[in-house]
Amino acid sequence: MAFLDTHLLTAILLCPVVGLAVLCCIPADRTQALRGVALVSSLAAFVLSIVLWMRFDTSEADLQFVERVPWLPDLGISYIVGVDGLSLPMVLLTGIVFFTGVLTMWELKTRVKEYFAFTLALVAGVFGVFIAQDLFFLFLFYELAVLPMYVLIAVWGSTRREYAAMKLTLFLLAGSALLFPALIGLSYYSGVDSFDIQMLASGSDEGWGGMGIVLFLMIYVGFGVLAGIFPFHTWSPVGHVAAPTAVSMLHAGVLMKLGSYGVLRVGVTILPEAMVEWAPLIATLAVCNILYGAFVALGQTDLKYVVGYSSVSHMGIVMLGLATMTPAGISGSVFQMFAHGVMTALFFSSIGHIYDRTHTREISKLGGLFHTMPKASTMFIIAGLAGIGVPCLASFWAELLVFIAAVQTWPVHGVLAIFGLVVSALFVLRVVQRTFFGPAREEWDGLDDIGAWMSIPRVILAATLILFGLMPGLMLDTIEATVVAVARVLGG
Amino acid sequence: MGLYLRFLPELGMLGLALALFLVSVTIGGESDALDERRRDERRRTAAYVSDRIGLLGSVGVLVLAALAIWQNGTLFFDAYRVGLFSQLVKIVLAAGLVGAMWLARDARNIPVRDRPEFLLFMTLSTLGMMMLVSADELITFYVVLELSAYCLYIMVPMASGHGSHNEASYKYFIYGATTSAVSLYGMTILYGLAGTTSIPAIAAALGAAPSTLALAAVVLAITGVLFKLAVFPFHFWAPDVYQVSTHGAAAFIAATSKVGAVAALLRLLLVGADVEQLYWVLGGLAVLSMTFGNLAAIAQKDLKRLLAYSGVAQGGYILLGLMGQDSAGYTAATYYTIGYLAMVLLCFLVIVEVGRTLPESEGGRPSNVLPISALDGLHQRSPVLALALLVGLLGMAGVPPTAGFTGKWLLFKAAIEVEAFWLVLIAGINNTIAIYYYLIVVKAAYVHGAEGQPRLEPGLMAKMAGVGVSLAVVFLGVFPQWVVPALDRAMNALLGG
Repeated sequence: MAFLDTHLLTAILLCPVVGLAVLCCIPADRTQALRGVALVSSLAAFVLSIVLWMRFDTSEADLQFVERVPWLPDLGISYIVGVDGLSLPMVLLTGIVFFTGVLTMWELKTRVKEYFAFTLALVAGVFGVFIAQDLFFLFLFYELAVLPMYVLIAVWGSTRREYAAMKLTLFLLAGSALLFPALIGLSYYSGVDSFDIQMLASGSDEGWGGMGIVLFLMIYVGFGVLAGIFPFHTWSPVGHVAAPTAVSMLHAGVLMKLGSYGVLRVGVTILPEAMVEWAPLIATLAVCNILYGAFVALGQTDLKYVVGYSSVSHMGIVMLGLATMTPAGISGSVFQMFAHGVMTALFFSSIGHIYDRTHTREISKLGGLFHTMPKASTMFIIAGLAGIGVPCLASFWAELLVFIAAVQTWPVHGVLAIFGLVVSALFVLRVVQRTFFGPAREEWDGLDDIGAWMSIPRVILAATLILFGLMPGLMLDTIEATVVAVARVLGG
Repeated sequence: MGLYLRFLPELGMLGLALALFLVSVTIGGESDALDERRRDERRRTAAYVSDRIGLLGSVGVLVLAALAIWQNGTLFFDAYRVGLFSQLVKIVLAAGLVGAMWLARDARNIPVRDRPEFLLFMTLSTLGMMMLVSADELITFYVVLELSAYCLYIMVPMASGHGSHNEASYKYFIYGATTSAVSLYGMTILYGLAGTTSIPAIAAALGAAPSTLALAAVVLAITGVLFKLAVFPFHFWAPDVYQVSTHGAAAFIAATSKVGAVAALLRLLLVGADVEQLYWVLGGLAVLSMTFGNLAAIAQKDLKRLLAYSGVAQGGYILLGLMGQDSAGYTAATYYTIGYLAMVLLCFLVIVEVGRTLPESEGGRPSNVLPISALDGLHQRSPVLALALLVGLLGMAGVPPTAGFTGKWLLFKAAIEVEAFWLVLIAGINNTIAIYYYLIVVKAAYVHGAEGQPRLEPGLMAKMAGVGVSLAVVFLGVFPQWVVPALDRAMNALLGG
């Protein structure tokens, strides 16, 4: 098992990479084989990420399953992978969303080979970011995860797809423009002359001079663009709406988490003192996210826009949790990343089904869908309830922890954020009522509900929400040890 | 024997040039005794034979260059220095020539009777660049610089037929001749300051010279090389020349000659090792070049013009590595240039293949343009070429896992280590601008449909080349440890010796 333990993370990373290599060798017209390859590689990654979670030692705060290979030792670059309580939930989340995303797109007909090829490249990047412990590789995987999004949205998307794809890519790469010098600057100005995140984090904060403050801001904004922080969030709802179903799932479910994870992993652990300086700004912008997202969602007429703006609001909760700098707040934040990822994946997965059948996402045109599509409706409602923090679903615990910590650390912000949650309850319930209930409409008669095979991904997602809602300790135990260590450095 | 071994790659290149020359004067030679039909036949034979000789011969030179990699020492009364740096660059140049020869085979729009000469000039130009890398003395440097440049000046009008639209060729020649005169002027000041033409000796003497004059002399002297690298404000020729020349010649100018220019710049900058203000000049040029190149590229409708402006921007990135004049920066610049060579060749592979489907002339004039719209639906017409284009463009855009990303990382790291943090930030922002126009090309290839586009049937070799070079770009990017340590040693030797 020692062999497995040291190479488990690389094995997870190789699942999509090998899948991609095999995919490239299969002719484009063998769609069934192409789907099969994508499914096998996503299933393998899913199973391995569960194995990883089972074998993880929750009492340990440091990195586990570490693998180190010197890459360019003279330049301080090494291939280092490892997980701790911050990254393990993200790896698990990626495994779940990747697998369910492939299943959701099972019925895709156009350009199947290229679709799965770009998806696998994207997922390889996402796994890479969550396990990489060296800044060079972290940034390499980060950029790798962003670019395929352009093609995925521009080719397979809907509403204004070319515009949305370009906007998304340019926003995210503008973020990278800040990250590129900032990440290299971390190594230079720290005097460590290595890109090993652990070494940088363990170095003292002295000697940074004024650069620590500047670098942190660049890292916060650079990664924050991807996390949808206000006012750099505008790419996100447009991108969600244009993207095809599974890409929306990956995008909102996993990709946005890269941003908040990046702030936490690179910004907070390496530059804790700068984090303390910037925390008021982060908390304020986070509350802007929560309120702005919720109010704008209230006015939307397109189902996907509603979920898109609710994501903006929920990512605000993640960032607010980080800004509290307390164990409870950061735990809640990491838990929220996980729960929100699963929840939005479920949201988009059921919207995708509804849109494929009704060919509209206009809330005013829909109505009474519960009569014809009880399963799809139930899935949407579960996700909606999770979003507004109903107990027994995973998000409840995450949001509860963040709000308790926020009210203690930033009372005004905390109260405003709770008010935002009330608004989001309003829009979710409104959407649910108008879309799914009310009298049955003739035009939706005879539309088929989610079939047995296609309900597998939705059931997995809903079950995950319920499982961690009933037993939050499973996830919080995983997160806790590391978060306590991080918060101790922050003085919380 | 040692002398021949040290001079092996150049001798091979000279041999190849001689072979092409012989083909040109024997089989391709004009003879009044033959009737028109026979003459035409002989010209075709000469073109066919020279294509094959050129390709096989350049592969041979590549082998010779690889054999000569461990050679060390000086030649010709210390005017010529052979070391790991020069030998590595010669291998890259030979590889670049193989690529350009292959892309230039069956070149369109070059009259059949001129084909042997066309390849001859390409070979001689590469020979000039190879010698440039080793030139350790200003007069040698200047002579071989002109050798490589004049061959390029001739290749451009050859492609455009007879007498028509030669604006670009004149532009290229006049700008080139002017900058080389300026260069020469700078070199005379250097000689005046140091009393010698040996590069190491000048470098030692400049430390004691008046700093303003030394700076002016070095800046003037490098002008000719900056022109070849098409760095702002010496870039005016690039878009026109790329567009007008035949695709193979444009590939040679865009890819292989850039490697020669960067290597020559590295060598010539050695004279300014003690001139501190050079840091600001190079840094300023880097920022201007990347900003101007990227902004101008956005507006382009022709892929070759776009690549020309993007080349101006890439020259700016490379200058970032040179500004510190240290081995880390030189390593990064050379690594990046090697990756850039492969990426440009990938793009030109697609240009050549797609170019075959376009009409050969327009309004009676030979047409060498390649509008971006001609790439529409490339993913359907040829998935392999679409992939090659994707890797090439995204590599230039610095997207992982390509050599472009790793190269930018190394360049930016080297620049930050010489306190150029804010320049790197500007470079990062520039990178975002660049992504926009690269994505416009990607959009044509991947998002647009293939309706109304001519069929595209690349040969097996073209497909293999596309996949092979793409893999090379990715492997170079993911496993830089195969190349970077060797470059690092070469640079340390160059700067130390």
